[in-house]
Amino acid sequence: MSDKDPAIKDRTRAILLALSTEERTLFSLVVRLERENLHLKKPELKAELIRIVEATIK
Amino acid sequence: MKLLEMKIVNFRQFAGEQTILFAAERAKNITVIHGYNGAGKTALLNAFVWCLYGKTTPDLDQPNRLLSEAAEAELVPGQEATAEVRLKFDARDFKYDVHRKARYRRSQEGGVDAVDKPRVEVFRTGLGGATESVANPEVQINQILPSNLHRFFFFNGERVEAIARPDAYEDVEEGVKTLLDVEIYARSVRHLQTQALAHLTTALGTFGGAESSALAEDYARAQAREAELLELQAQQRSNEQAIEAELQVIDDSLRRVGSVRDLVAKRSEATLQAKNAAANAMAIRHRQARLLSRHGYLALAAPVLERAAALLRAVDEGDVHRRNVSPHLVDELISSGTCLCGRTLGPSEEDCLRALGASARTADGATRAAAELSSLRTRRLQYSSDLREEQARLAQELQDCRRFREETDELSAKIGHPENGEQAEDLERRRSTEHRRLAETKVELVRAERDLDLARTAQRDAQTKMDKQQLQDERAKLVQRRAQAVRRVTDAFEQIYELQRQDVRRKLSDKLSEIWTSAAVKDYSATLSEDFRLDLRKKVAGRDVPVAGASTGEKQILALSFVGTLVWKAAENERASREDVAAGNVPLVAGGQYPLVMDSPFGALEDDYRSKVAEWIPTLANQVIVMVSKTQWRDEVESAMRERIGREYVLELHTPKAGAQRTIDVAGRQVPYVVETTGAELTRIVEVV
Repeated sequence: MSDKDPAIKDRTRAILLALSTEERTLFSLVVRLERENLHLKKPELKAELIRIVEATIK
Repeated sequence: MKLLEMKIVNFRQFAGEQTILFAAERAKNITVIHGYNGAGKTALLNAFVWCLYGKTTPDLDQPNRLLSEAAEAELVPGQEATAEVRLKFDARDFKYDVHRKARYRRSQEGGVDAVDKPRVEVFRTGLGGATESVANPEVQINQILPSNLHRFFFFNGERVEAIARPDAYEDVEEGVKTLLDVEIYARSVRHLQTQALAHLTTALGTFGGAESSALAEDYARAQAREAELLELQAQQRSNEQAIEAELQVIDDSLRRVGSVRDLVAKRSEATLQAKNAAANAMAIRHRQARLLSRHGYLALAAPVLERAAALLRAVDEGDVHRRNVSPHLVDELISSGTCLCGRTLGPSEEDCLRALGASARTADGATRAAAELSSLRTRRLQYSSDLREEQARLAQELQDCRRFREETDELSAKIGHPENGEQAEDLERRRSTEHRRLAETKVELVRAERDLDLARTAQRDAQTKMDKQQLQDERAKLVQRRAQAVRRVTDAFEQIYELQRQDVRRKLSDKLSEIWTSAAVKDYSATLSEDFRLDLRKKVAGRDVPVAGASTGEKQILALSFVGTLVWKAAENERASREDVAAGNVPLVAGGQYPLVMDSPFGALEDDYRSKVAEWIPTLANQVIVMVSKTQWRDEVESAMRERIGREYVLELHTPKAGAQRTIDVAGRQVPYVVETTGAELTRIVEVV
């Protein structure tokens, strides 16, 4: 967690810990996709999102 | 992002090829560029914006004519020339080189027109030294410094107060969320819902049977309705902001009409008071609701309490001896089997003692219950008293609100009266029309919000039913599991988004307040409200109220304070993000270091404000580029910034006007400022070493 405020960090951590391991992986991959792929058009983004979901949740 | 160098070729006033190198050291991070009026300060600001985004600022005259006059003058029919800006900077471990070019040709008829749309190329060099051409240059630039934020980092200081206007609130919020990487969560929610979940719901409809298919259709319909309503809502919000901005313009104009100035001031005050009274009334209603939810049962308890009291009295008025018998003593006597007098207790005596003990316990319990009852009665009385007090306060606030609204209406009628002149009458009529439009827009927004709730509820209902379905098909079960997982991840994004959004807003507001207080002369406070409005507030009779009619200079300081706050927070985020990466964690927010490029930041400010702004500007960003005229670069400004200046330039204006030559004092030296020439008017960028 990047935020130095402990209350925010703790609450964010609690939210993420409430997810399963698979779901946390999905969360991280979606963050990375959104951050690094602003150039993708809608259909490409959709395809990539679905690929991530199918690869992560089995 | 650290600016390194800009090369300008035949761009506006700048003829030929000219280069500026930017100061980039920590201790000497300021580049000062002195320029006479019309020498090209605004053009230089636009060189940054045009190079990066292909846009120009609103104050650039004739934005389609970018080719310098000198280059134009040399063109013969059929010949072409290029206006070009090349900007080099460091960002995210790469060296970037952005070239934007616009081609112009002189036609046979003699006019000079653009040949085609300006083109941009971006090259980047990694740490290893390899250089590549970037495939999506605009996207790449947008990732480094998003286009919707450029007005925060490249701005005309005399117009920067526009950030504090109502029509800028959405830009402010979007800017904050994008720059501070909070927007990524909102985007994730949107994409997961509209792309991934929609796909999975359709798939479930395909594999899950007739019921799933029907639910998938319901979901798709509700989702389409939501999209429609979001668009409508965005449109209405934009209308709302435009109307509020227009109202502000009308109010500013009215303040300048001498015959109604006092009336307008009184009306502003009355409007504010009405607003405060309404807000106080709302707060009281919330407090009443909380009181009711916590203690409301007490209001209904009176008959029950009375009956309980009567019962307890009856118990209490029973055998007087029971009141004075300790159940513990009785228990001890029974367990010891011996009376107080020492005699052994027989079975009938034990039975008698047991009955006495039970009776004594009842009396004991009754005594405790009576005490509790008494406490409940006291609380009930207190609750009634609190409610009455709140009710009285509410009545007062509502009365005040009505009074101030009536006063506002009376003042409006006076302001718009023909005796005050046509201008006031016309402005007042426009104001009344805009207020009506605003009220209608607010109703539409409420309607859209209500309909959005319904559409979202319909989606959730469809999803919940799909989740609960007992499916036979293995494919359908897999899709169901994926949809559930995506929903939970979407919920997590929404929660974290809201946490981050409010946390960011709070921190920005605190820092804004700190920066503003260090620069401000008046006893105002600056805040970033819940809906991302830049507000100035003051204390009036112990109450915190918004400042009505802040001056242009004050708005300028407010906007500058906000920009500084944003840059500070982005840098903080970047530091935190690096720490996270070093610790092996996934950084949830990115951030970055951004320069500030300012054309005339001191223009409308009083001396006090100038020196304070000059002191804190260099500390707000890792790199500052300031363009100033002679009158803006006064003693207090220079002395505050001198030590941190790493590079200094003069925009040497060459003009054919006789007797126009001037010099400027730069660091104790007289250097040419305006030069008489025989050719076309142009500007040369000269470094003062």
